[in-house]
Amino acid sequence: MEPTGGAQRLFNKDFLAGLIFLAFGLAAIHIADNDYPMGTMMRMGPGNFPVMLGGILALFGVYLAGRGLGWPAKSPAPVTWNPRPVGCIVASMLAFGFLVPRLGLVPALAAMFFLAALGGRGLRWREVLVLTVLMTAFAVGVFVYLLKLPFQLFPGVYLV
Amino acid sequence: MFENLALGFAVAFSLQNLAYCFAGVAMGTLIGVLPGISPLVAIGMLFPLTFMLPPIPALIMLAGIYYGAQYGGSTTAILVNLPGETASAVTCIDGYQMARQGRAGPALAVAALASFFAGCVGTLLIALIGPPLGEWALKFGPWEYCALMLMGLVASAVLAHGDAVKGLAMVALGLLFGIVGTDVNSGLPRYTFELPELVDGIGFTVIAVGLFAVAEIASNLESREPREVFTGRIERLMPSRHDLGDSAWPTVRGTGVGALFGVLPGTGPALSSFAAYMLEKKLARSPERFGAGAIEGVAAPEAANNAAAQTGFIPTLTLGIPGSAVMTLMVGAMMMHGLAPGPQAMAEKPELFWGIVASMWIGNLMLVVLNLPLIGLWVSLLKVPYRWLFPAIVMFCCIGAYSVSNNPVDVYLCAGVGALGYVLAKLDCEPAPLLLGYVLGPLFEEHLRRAMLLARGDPSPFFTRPISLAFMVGTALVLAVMVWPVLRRRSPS
Repeated sequence: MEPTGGAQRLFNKDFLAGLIFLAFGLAAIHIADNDYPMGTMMRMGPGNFPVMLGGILALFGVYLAGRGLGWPAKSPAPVTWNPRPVGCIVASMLAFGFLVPRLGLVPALAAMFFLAALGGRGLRWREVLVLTVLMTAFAVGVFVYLLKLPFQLFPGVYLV
Repeated sequence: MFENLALGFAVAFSLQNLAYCFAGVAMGTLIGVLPGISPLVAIGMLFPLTFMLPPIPALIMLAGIYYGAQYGGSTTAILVNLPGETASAVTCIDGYQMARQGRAGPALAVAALASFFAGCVGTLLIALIGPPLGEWALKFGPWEYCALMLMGLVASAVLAHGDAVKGLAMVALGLLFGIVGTDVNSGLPRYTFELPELVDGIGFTVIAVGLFAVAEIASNLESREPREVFTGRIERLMPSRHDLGDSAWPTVRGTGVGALFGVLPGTGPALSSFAAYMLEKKLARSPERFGAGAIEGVAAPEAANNAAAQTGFIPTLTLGIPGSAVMTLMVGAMMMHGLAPGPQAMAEKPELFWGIVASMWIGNLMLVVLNLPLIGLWVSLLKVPYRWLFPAIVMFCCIGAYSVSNNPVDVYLCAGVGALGYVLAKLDCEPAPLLLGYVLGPLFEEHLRRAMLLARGDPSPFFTRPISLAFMVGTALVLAVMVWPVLRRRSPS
């Protein structure tokens, strides 16, 4: 799915970065404007500084997006994406966070290692298994046994 | 003046603190030397380990981790030609050539010795410049602090490598991230989206680990080019008398260059090591040797790098304004231990301040003592493939984020920040200015509000108070540096 023509022009580093900054800036202004008092010049309210920052951020966003569209003239670098590595890393962390309170550290780490390993190149299941066992043992030894972090290892099983 | 250092050494030389310093150096080097793991990642991933300790040992261990990670980075630069960070990119040039010629041992030894020399000079400079600077800074009002922070933020965005506009936008985004949480003046929760976890703000661990460790692994996994690992044996470790003679003056000059650059906000080690290298190349009788394994090309940038890292602590500790990404990590970690660096901290908790300074030096010394004999071990670590490393780093990130408050939400946030950092890095937006903005955000707003209140809503004191004006002029100059090339390019010449 190669973007073509006009779409291709938009898939560049400046335009996309500009959009992200613009989105954050506008969101910051929107939320602050609705919910936080502005105060006065003398007594700045909780909304004042965020709106200033949001404005600055949005301005930078507009400038970058404009530059991405070719103004001022500069050929912006295109971006290519490979969502798999980042997707696997994020998924593995979410799985860890989800499983630790429910099933304990050991199952959470096992899920984390297998999901994370999916994001790498040259995946070998046997290696992942060995790595998981070794690193889980390390984590239990160092973090739970030595540093005494209050992790449950399996449902209802605690070391300390 | 030196009684301060003496106090520091008294603190740092307790057996317990030495042990923590040693542990920090060992772990920092161990992680920092692993290929594809920059010092920032190493520090980001290891600093949650220090949470369990009381403040002084924690900060001492952190200093050890810092030096170990930095030195580990140089080792990878020399042996694998893979610079962990921009500061060691210059070391790669000649260091790797030396390694290919079978002189990896002397290159590593000279790097360690030059770093140590620079570290000693840097420590002395902190003891010399720190107190008067801190005393001067005690006179700062909110205007001066605001202007100084503005200058630091702008400088870090503009002078760092990469696009200056993107850097400034990242600073603004970081400041916004920094003010998430309960507003200290009104008690109003801001940008918390009704999440109780965000009432105290986005945790520093979440930001630092997500931005530097998670995002970097994702980027690394995507763009791995085959690397050539040095596989030969290291036969001779100690540099010959000739090597030492050749690297003596470059070390001294590199230290000078680095010390100068380190104090300036935003420039930090990266620029200094590059400047030192160029200086040596200019001064050399046979500049063609540079790039083909000149030992001066290792000694000078390594000395500059370390001197800058050390003098970077001057603005960080005395003014509370960090100059580089690593320094920002250190400040964030100090804040987590309830120490906000700045002139007040220096005056009120001298044992902490000078303890850190002294342990910096001890960390440096331990590095030499520990690393020179262990180089063989570090070399064997270089052969560990990345596909084994990165899941282990993710594990450290998860456990680090989770253990801050035993809350899975921190892990989710960390993953989210990592994904955002990855996307932004893809778009050539450097994460370091964001982190600096995040750390300084709450402080900046507080001083701004106080300044406006004290002047009854009049912003003019920013430009009428002399010190504040000087910082404002500095900010304008830095911005001019950024705008100037654009204007010049567009004018028909």
